[in-house]
Amino acid sequence: MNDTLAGWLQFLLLVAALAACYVPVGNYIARIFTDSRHWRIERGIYRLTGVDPDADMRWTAYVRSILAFSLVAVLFVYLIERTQHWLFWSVGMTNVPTDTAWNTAASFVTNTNWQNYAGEATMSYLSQTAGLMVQQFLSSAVGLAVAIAMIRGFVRSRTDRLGNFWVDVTRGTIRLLIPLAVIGTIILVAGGAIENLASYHTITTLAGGHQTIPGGPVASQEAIKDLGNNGGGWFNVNAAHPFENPNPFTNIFIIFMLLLIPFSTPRAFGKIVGDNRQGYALVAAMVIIWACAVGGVTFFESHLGTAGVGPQLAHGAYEGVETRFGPHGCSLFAVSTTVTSTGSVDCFHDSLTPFGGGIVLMDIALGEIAPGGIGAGMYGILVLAMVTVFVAGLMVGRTPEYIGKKIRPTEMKYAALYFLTLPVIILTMSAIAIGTKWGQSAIWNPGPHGLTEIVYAYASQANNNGSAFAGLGTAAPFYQITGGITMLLGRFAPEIFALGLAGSLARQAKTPASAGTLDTRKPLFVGMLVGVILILVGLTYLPALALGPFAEGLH
Amino acid sequence: MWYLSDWFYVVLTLVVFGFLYLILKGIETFER
Repeated sequence: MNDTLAGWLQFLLLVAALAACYVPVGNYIARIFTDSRHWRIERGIYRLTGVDPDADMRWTAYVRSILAFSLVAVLFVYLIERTQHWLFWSVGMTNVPTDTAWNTAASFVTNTNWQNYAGEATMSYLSQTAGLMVQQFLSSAVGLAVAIAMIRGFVRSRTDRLGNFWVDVTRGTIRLLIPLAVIGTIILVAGGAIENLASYHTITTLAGGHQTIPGGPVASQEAIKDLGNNGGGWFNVNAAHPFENPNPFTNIFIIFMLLLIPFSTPRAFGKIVGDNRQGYALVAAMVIIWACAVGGVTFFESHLGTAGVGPQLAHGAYEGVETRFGPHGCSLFAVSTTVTSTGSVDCFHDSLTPFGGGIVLMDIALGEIAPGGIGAGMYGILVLAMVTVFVAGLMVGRTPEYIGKKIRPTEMKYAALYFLTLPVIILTMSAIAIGTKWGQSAIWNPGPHGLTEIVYAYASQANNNGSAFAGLGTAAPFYQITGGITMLLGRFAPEIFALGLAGSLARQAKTPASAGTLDTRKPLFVGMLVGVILILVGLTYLPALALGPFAEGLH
Repeated sequence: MWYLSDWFYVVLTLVVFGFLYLILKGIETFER
């Protein structure tokens, strides 16, 4: 079978699997967060933690809970990393250096999973599991909780209550993430991924040298890493490592896992607001952007003549690509991991062709709303949907409405704050890095490629993606500190604005649709939404893209 | 024995979360 046909089959198989899961998984997510009963295990957790599960929170209380929960989580993960050598399951690891420990703690609590370390050579089993893996569950559940709170803003009227953060996080973890992660782990183990608590083995190779073979509960971390759009791998080379991603089957299964919940959440949205067609419209916009990006990157990575002389001789851009998966498997993975906030990789993004790398950078810069990270993609695209109906309202001179709620100046202020926050953080941090000797000294590739690496690093961290373009010395204290700040602000500031917007919507009374209401279930709206995403958000980064990947590609 | 840099990162964490809390307080004031 030739590469192109295999690439198409992979893509179509993935689309079919995701389409088959859209309704059942989406309905299940909706049921989780609309169920009036608490499970026994959940009641036990609430009793243990002193939470009143029936207390309804104002949006400000919801935000305070998120910030308090995350603050404690950052300090807890930091403490484990800094003391891992003295704790059990240390497998001989020393304590993690302070700057790496803090950056990593911020990274995993924000669902980013940016890694300035090699997991198998830095982290003890305890740090990987009790520290990082636990956060892979909890940070995902926090993102999903914010999305659900925002959806409640549309459903509720004349109230300032958005639900209970502790209940939402508990349900998201226990009813959704843990069961799916268990299933995912079993399938990955069946596919050949390792799962053990064995010590590292040193073996003698045929050539007489010595090699250390690491172990660990890799499959279980791999499952939640992808299902929760986390991306932090057990090993330094992430999903290019054969213990983590052994073969083409596990490769496509991993891509499926990282897209499953984000692509199903619009169904949950449609179900909760009582109009499934609203969910179809949003998922259609997501699919269009994702499919175009897959097509673009695959073209540039596999098409002769776009990758230089060496790759042409090898029939594609093979440098930096895991040969078990080839350019097609790499392209599909690279796009899927950057349009979600996952960030795991099965090939080096630094090795992508300039235009291929430019597209994955653009995926991240769009704010990861197609389909975006778990929960984060949903509230991101809802904000942009409101901007779209506002723009449409300006065109026809009517008060814009979305799902029965008026989009007034107050809502637009929240929306503007939401989508301006990330460009301000990313471009400011990139400018500081480029303009100071601390930032410049870590650039290993001068010229446009170096610029791309810096912008990619901050875009990835601010959008909580976590994939790296590499080629940049981000283990330097300057990048550890600015990166950590970028991740924390990039995660929580937009969530504050999104929840403020949700609170504002919840206070409104429902507005019945009229003849002047834009039908947001029609292809016209889908097209407008895609246009607004590309123009409003995409153009913000055009100068950086022009000076980085485009300049490199056209050189 | 904790190093000075440990305290630096603890304080940095508190400062960043304090800044986020100030954003929230600012919006609350604006809403009123």
